[in-house]
Amino acid sequence: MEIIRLDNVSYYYKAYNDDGTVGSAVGVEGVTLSIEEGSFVALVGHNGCGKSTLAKLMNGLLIPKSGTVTVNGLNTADRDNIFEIRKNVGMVFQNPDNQMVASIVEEDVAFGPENLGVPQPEIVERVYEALEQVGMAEYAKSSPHRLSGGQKQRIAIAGALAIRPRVLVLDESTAMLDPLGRREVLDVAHKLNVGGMTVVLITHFMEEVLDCDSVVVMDNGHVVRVGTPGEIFEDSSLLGNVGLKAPRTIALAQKLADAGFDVPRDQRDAGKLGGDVCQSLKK
Amino acid sequence: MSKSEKVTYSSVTVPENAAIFAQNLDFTYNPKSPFAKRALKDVTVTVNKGEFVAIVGHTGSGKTTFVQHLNALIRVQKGYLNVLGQDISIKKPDLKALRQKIGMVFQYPEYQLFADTVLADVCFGLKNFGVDKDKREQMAKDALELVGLEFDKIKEKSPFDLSGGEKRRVALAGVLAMKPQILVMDEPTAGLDPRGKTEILTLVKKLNRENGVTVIMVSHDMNEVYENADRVLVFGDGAIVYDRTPRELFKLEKEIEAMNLEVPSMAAFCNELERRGFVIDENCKTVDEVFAAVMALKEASDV
Repeated sequence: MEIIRLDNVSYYYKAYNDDGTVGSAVGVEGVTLSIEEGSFVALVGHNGCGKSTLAKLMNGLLIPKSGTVTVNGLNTADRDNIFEIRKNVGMVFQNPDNQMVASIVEEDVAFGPENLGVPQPEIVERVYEALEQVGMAEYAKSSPHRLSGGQKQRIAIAGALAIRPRVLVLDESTAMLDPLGRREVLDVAHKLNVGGMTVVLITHFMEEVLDCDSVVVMDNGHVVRVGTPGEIFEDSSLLGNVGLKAPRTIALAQKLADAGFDVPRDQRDAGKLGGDVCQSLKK
Repeated sequence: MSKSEKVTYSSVTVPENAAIFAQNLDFTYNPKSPFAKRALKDVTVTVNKGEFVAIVGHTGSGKTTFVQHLNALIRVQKGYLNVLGQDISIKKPDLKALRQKIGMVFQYPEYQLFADTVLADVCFGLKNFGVDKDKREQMAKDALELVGLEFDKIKEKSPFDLSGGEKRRVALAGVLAMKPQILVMDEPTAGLDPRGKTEILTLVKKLNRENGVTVIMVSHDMNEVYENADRVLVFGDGAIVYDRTPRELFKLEKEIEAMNLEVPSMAAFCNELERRGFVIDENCKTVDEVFAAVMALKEASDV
């Protein structure tokens, strides 16, 4: 079943021309895309390609200038739907420090449900359930500024989860974290996905894309390709055009397979690839 | 620490080719308070002129505290520190002279852009160092061209209208305009897209190889460290745990993983080959270089 649908969606930002007149800059243009409930979708492309614009169109933070976006059948352009839509689509952004609104973790997580008018006993229940899901329950009474980047992002995810959304959009939520923090956030995202949550992951790290069900490649505001990670990483001319690169191990596996080595083209484990190459060399 | 413990370093011999020389450097945040935290523990290290040194270690390992010592943003509490012949562990080092020699690029340097135009922003440091107006513009032009931006096209633009990668290059130009002999960078590629990362790293490598700038780069991206650095310092709990070439360091797979760091893909691949008796030249670090080395092994075994 499809949870989010974009039909020929365009969005333009206001921009000033050199002569001072008001013009427009393309955010996204003519995007048609369907996101299945329960899927894990990666959105990739270089800076300024429209990924974040697309993400913001998915929960009505931006309303398309033309075309329609529907979330669970509700049109985001209809003001009456906006609360229902935002309950369905939770977002987490890049900088963990910009997303904290309270001085105690549990209060921060409670911010969303409080605004939705959820009764107090249920807020408490939701907050603890959300903190449990991201593995941060023991920090409920802590102060967010004492936490690591990865922990802060998990609190931000808990804040989104407390609204009980069906879709979680992570807009470069791993970009500012160290490798350990990134792993923590991705583990949480995958665990939620296994539990049925639809996840849209916007990222520059191609290694993170490998575990996704499908990859949406964007360039200059257009969706240029949708495919599985395997299909996308095989298309080196596409990657070159949009300024992306396959993860190193996969790039090497492809080269070796092309040169006649008996190795899987999508081998992502560098050690295993090394082992396979040795087998090939010994023959 | 009582005053009597203070060691004097009048007799220290600084190695001849040293850009940076630290001996028994020790630092505690909030000393003599319940929040006291010893962030550097007896760090002794020499960085030679012209080297490209990477500093790695998880958050809280002391790497930022160490690099902030280098241009005296943090003053030496205990131990000895010499930067390009200047003793900066003394009470009143000449900070102006020091900061002209050592350029510091912080995390997300584009957040520090503030002026109306790119030119004004790049000139800001020069102005503070007392460079004349005419000379300033020429130096800013050189720096902007060095980072690959067209001076005439960009000089009057607002830095805030640029893309993420361009903003970072403008911020970098502001530091390079002073023609520092040492460039210290804290995660210079964090948050950039793959193209932006390649641009910045290519530029830094060029500065190091062609202009002889000594580079110290803090990074969390082990692949990037592996492919670019001559030497890696691994910080853990305030001390330097390893000081090795990238190839030697990343042979220690178990130790690296135990420190919550990643083994670079090409290192993991070469390690596996070595375990099975195939040796890859230690200078082969990128995908293309490793591929070429494997093809050479194949040819040798086919004969």
